[in-house]
Amino acid sequence: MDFESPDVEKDFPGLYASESGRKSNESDFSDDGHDRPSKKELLIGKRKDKKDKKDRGYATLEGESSPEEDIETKSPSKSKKSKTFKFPSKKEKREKSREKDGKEKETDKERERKKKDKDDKDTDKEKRKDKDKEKSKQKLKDRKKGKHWEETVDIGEEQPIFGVALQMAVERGRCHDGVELPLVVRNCIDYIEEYGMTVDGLYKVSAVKSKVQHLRKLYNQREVVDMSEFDPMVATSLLILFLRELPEPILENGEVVSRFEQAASLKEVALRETQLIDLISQLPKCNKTLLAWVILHLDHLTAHEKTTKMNAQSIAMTLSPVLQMSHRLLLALLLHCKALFANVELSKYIPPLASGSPNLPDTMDAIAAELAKQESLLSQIHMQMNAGFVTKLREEQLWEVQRLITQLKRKYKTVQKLEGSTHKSLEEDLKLGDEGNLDISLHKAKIVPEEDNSYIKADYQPLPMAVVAHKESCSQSMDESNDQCDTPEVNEKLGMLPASKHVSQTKCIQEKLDASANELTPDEVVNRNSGETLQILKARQISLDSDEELRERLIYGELLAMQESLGSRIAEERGEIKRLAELLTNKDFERSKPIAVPCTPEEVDRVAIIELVLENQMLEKKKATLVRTIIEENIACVELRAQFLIQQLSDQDCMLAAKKI
Amino acid sequence: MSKKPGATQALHKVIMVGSGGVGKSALTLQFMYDEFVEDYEPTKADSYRKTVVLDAEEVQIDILDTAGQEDYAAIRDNYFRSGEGFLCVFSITEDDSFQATQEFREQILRVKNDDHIPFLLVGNKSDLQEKRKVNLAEAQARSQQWGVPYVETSAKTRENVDKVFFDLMREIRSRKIEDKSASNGRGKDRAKRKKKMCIIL
Repeated sequence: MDFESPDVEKDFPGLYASESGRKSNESDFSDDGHDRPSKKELLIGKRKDKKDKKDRGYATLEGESSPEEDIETKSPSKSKKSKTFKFPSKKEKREKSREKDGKEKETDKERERKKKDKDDKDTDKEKRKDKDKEKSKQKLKDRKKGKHWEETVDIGEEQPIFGVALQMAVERGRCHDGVELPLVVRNCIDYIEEYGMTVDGLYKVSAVKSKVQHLRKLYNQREVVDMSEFDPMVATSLLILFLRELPEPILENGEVVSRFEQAASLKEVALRETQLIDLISQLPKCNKTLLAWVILHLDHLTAHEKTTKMNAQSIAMTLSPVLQMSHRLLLALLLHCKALFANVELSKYIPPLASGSPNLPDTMDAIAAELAKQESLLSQIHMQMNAGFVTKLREEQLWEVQRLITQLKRKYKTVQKLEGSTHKSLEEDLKLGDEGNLDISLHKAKIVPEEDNSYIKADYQPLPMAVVAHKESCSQSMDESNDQCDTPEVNEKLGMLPASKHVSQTKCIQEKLDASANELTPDEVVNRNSGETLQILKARQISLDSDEELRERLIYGELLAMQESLGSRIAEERGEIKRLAELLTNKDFERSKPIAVPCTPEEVDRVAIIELVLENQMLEKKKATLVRTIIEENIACVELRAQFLIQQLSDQDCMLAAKKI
Repeated sequence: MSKKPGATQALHKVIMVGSGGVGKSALTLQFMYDEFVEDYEPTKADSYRKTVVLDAEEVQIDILDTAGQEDYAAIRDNYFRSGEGFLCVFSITEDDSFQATQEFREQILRVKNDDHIPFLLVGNKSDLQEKRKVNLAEAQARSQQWGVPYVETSAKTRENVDKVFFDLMREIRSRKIEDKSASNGRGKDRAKRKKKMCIIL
């Protein structure tokens, strides 16, 4: 921003003679948000000038309640206004570069401030001495002083949300769900949408000033605001106040406004719409968002015309000055709003969870969304702290938000793992089909017989309990004699069932183990395979050019062997299963009578079944993961064996060569 | 803020610092959940709270696990400022990480502006003795120079994991008691200072 004044003075020497002293002074605190708008106005030509006059009308109204604000934001512009119209030709060129420059400066200053903040800590006393010396930097020093006595610093005064450029307001008072609106705007719109649509003369009737000012202060200080204690008029007035205090029009600047006005004055509807769409697409993102939300919100208002007594006309009358656009333009925007903001939908803002809230979201998407909000909140806290607003409360908040993020991350991981594993096992089931499933169970039985045993036990554990419950209910509902003859039966059934199954299962496991032992003694397999493959290899050794091909072949051979052994095992197991199934049907037949006789309360059964099903699901999952590892291990084994063979082969070659020599 | 610990329950804020990959997170997770995480995933920042019994008194410990990488240095100061005690971790298998502790120490002292901040020098990965690059004497010398305790830990075997956290909490606690008595007995303090001044005069 500083670069302007020398530049201007070159062209018009002496123009700022009286001003230059003051100007350089001003640059000392030019990082102040209020300062920028005034300079902007300086560059915008006559048209803007007129607008500003209009503006000031409202601003002075404002002034009654906030004289300080008025002086800060408006008075510099007043003093410069008289000169601005002298160089309208330059405004266009400068506008963009100045804007960029402004942003860069902003970040530079942030850095600077941080640095200074650190220095400040070290050499506090020296700094204070400096302060006495350099009175020109009074304001900067004041801020630093504020930074130092943390508890007394007021972020609301130093970095307000009202009365600063829109982009800055968005950054300072962020919505954490990704919508680039200042929180205050979002809250107001939410509140009015929810409770305002029945209010007669909404937006026309203004609220008690003190209430609005109170809320303004709360937002500036980043306090949590509970609007529910106010009526909707307070929300509308607050929103109007925010829009009015924006240093620039919602449509970026006077130039753009005039283009919008031209487009709105087009007679042909379709053309008007496309032009407006085009112009809106050129707006900065935050302006676009704000415009979209406000216009769509006002459009909702017209839908409630009966209760609010506000139609598009009266809305335009009331709000076009606030939005710094003509009656006609606002009407056009309202008319075309569906097409103009087709991809925008108003949604109620759900703030990030408060720390210590017991109910973290459960699904992956919900956790991810919440995580994003918390991260946004965290970065905002960091930003505030880096800017020097360090309070005990904010520090505590920092740790708490951080803790919540950690919790969410951990939960996300566990949910991911859980969903991932079920997903995978599902996939596997689908892929392998029935045969695969058989295969899987076989693998498991062989490799982890212990687990299988526990599976059996676990499977039957709930049953005795159920029977006990059953007995109790029986004793309640039946005669003693009945009860007596009933229980032995039940016991018998119980005893018989697990015992027989257990025996058969363990037997089959043993069988399987034997079978696998016969088949799968690794050395044997290796020997056998190596014997075969060595022969093949010797026969073809000459024709084999590359090691790679050799390796592939070996692996192929291994895989074939594996397939064979697995196939035979599958066949074996099928026989076993058939046998067991027959056994079971026999048992069922025997059992069918005792089961029918006692009056089994369904509830007990159901509980038992549910437990069993759950148990089973758990075990299935375990099984699936084990099978996966087995498969992986097998593949690794195959690779290793192939390598081993290659090694062997080359060794043999060496030996042969050595012998020859 | 809504869920503040009971007024009687003390809260100690511990911060883990050290280069990337030395095992800050591993130590933290081992202490918090008795789990050892094998795969390495750089931390940005994580915070945990746990209620523990410290010398028959129930206290809460807040652990902030910071990033070892320089990328996150910008936000580190904000955390350092609010820490009450620091575990400065390096890996005994990596000399660079040991050298880096010097810088971390300086950074902490600068932010906290306090030479006697509760602080422990922690040599992690003591289970990997065969890969040791930082010898015990070297580490002990540095800790003596700083006037802080030195402990070797293994997040994998859980060796000394509880010890470092509890030792640090004890230091924080005694430090808090000291501060309290100092602020309560300000009169005495002043008297002392005056005495000193007299001596100087």
